[in-house]
Amino acid sequence: MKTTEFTLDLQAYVDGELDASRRAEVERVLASDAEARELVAGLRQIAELVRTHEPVIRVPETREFYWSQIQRRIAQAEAVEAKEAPQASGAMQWLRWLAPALGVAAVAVMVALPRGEKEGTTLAANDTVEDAVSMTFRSDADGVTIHWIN
Amino acid sequence: MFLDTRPKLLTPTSKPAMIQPTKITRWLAFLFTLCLMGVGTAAFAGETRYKVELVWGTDDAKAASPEMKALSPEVQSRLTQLRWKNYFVVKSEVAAVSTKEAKKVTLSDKCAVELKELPNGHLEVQIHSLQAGADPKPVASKTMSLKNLQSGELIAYGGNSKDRWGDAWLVIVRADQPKASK
Repeated sequence: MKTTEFTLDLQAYVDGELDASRRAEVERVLASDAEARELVAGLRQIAELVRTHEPVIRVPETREFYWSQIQRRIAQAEAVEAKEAPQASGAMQWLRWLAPALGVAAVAVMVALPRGEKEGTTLAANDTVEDAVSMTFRSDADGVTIHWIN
Repeated sequence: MFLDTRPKLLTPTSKPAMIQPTKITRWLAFLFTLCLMGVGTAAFAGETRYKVELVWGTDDAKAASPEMKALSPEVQSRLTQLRWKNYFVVKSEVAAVSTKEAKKVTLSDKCAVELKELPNGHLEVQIHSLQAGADPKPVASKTMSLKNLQSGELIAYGGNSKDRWGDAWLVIVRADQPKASK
C-alpha cells in the first residue's frame, strides 16, 4: 500500500524535483515495484498530454495597440531612410556637377577630333543620282577603285 | 601772401606722341599687298587638273582604230583586278576643276563625265549617259578624296561593252600631276 507521501515522491520524481538521495531511493523502489512503475508511467503520460494540449490564451489587441505598432514600424523605417539619405545626397551632388561637365567634355572631344580618312577605306558614296553601279572593288596595293556598271 | 585757391586745370606736361603718317601708309600698303597675294594664291590654287581617259578593254592584240593608243603601262599595271589583256585609250582629256563649278568632259557620243571638287575635300565624279535628242542622264556618282587622288590613286567606272561581246569600257580619272605616284 502506497503511502500518500510515497505517491507525492513519485509525482516529484516525474517532475524532476527530488534531490539526489531521495531520487535514488525512489528508483530503488521502482526497480522492485511494478505498481509504482505503472503509476510513474501514468503520471508521465498525463504530464505529456497536459503539456501538448494546453490551450494558448492570447491577449486580444486593442485598436490603439494595433495602430501604435504601425506607427512604431513607420518610425523605424524613417530612421533607416534618414541614415541612408545623407550618403545618397552627397553622391547626387557630385553627379549634378559631373554630368554636365562630361557632356561638355564629350562635345569638345568630338569637335577637336580630326575627321581624317582612313587609308584604304572605300569611297564615301555620294549617291545624289540614280546609282547604276552594281559592284565596287578596290585595290589598296594598286591604288585604284573601280565602280562597275551593268 | 596771396594764395591762389582757384582750381588748377590739368595741363599736359608734354605733347602726345604723334604717329608718323608715313608709317601708317607703309603698314597699309603691306597689308594690302598681303591680301592681294592671298587672293591671288587662292584663285590660282583653286583649280586642280585631272586627267580623264576613256579606255577600251579587250583581249585583242591590236586596237580597233589606229588612233587609239595603248594605255600607259603604269596605269595598266594597276588594273590587275580586271581580266582583259590590253587596254587602249579612246579619248584623253585634261580638265581643270575647282570647288566653284563642275567641269563636264564629253568622252564619246554616249558618255560624258562631270567632275566637281566638293567642300569636304572630295572629288565627285559623275558619269552621264548621252543620247541623241535627249538630255544627258546621270548614271552614277561616286567620290574620292582629293588627298588620295593627289597621292596617285585612280577612280574608274567600267562596264561590259554592248557593242562587242567580251570587251569592256573604262573611264579612268586621276590627278594630272600627282604629288606622289604609286
